Amino acid sequence: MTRSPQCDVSCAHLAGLHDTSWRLRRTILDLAYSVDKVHLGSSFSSAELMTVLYHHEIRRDGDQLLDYLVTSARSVLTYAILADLGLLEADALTTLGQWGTPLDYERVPGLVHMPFGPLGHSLSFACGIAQGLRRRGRPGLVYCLLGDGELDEGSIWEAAMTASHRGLDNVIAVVDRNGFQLSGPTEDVKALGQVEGKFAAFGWRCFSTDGHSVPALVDAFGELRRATGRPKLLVARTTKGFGVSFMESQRSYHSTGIGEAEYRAAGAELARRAQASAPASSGDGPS
Amino acid sequence: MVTADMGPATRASRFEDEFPDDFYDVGIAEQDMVCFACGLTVAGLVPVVTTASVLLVGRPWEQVRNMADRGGYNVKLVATGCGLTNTRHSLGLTALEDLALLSGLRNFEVYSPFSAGDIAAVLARMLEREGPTYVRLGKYDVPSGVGASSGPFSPLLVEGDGRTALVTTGFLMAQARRVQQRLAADGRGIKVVNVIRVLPFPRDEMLAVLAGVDEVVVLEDHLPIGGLASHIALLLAEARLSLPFTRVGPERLDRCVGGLEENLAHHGMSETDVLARLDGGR
Repeated sequence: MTRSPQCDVSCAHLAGLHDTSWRLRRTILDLAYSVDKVHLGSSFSSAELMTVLYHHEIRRDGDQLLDYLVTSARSVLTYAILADLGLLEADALTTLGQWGTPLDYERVPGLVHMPFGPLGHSLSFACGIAQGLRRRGRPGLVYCLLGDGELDEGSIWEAAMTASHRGLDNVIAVVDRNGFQLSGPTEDVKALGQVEGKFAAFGWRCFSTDGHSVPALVDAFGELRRATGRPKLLVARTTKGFGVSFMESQRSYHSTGIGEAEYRAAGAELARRAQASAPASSGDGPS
Repeated sequence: MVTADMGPATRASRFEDEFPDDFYDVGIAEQDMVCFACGLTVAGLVPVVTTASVLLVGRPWEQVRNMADRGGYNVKLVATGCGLTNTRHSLGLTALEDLALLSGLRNFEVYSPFSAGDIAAVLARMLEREGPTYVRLGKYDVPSGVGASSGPFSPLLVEGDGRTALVTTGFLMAQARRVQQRLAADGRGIKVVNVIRVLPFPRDEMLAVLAGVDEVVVLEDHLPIGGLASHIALLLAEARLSLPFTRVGPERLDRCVGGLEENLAHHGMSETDVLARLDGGR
């Protein structure tokens, strides 16, 4: 991995982000084996994306997140990242799905801004936060992570119109374009086609990048932050289940638990691929 | 103030005239409207969301349930033209099920005031409390009067006394008063009860009001299940109060296009109809 050409980001930091994304995959795998069924496919497709957002892009002041990230999905991955950042008790992850767990998919003011669950709510919600921040003269960006299947929801397009009508350039929507939804490929269920073109027609500034490349994501977010005047969209091209070959682009790993044989095989492959894709200075952790 | 292309229809446009920077019209997009309002609360604003009830808690019900209620956001939903007051319009916006839709939501409080004084008291309470709130308003000649706002807020407004309790909510209080006056002219007193806070249902207050009553008649402009009558029937059953119980109200989503009195007559809710249902219809 080389120094990002357009960002003032050190190689060590980029390497740390790489390591973190693969460590999160391992955490998700552990949870799928030991706790309950989890959304393996989309957690693996958005591991780099969420890592770059939380560990690099979203500004923090101690335990306070100064920017907002909202999403209807990616609940377990969000919990894993917040635990990794020390903002949630790491032990809490082992209570997932159990009676009395603090990770009950409801909101946690300051950390998890909206309840997890049905899709299609987060972009409108993000627009409301962005509009409120603007009205109050407060800084802060509002990131909204969307699945590509989620774009079937009509409410997303209601929000897309609101954002552009109001010129909410403090909204940054990110689409995890892994090509799959619950029932199968997005193009088979209801052809989504060219996401950037659709949002551009709604008045958004649109970008796309390799969603598994940490330097590319860091660059893309830097460009998004600098763009003004319109709401912004990043389409991150990803692979569902990325990191474990027998899980990649497989509908059966959308949301599932796994047995011991799968767990061992997947764990071994994650370790191999993390190492194989690691940059030379990997191992320092995000700075 | 947040609405979905209903500023003129709800008179929210008057707010827009005075406070244009605090008025947000999201266009004809009610799902967007509810979630957008929830987002405003995160930035510390207190949004009042208004449109017709069917479009406020009907079309975006899942957003009301999973965002406004589960998130416990400080949003204020004010519905207009509720119940049978949506006169001379299509059935499409006639809201006879809104109370049922909101029953069981854990964070919502639901109000259904009648007089101008009560509406003012409810709106003040709505803005004071932290959490999602729904106010059921109608299109009718709102009488002046202080009602529940005359002292500490009470979820029930009780007028008169007698062995019969005629329980109602919202604009039907006018009808209940007419029935009360007709009976008073014949020398009979009844107790008229207006339920101003419907949810959480004021069980203890209602039980106190029903003590010493021989008959309960509920007059409501809501479908039978999930409305005022079903809350009272459940209360009577759980309290093992064996009282004659009569419900006067629409049985199904059906109305004739016309004025308010014609709609009430169509659903068997005219003054004469209510009088005929007292005393078990004897």
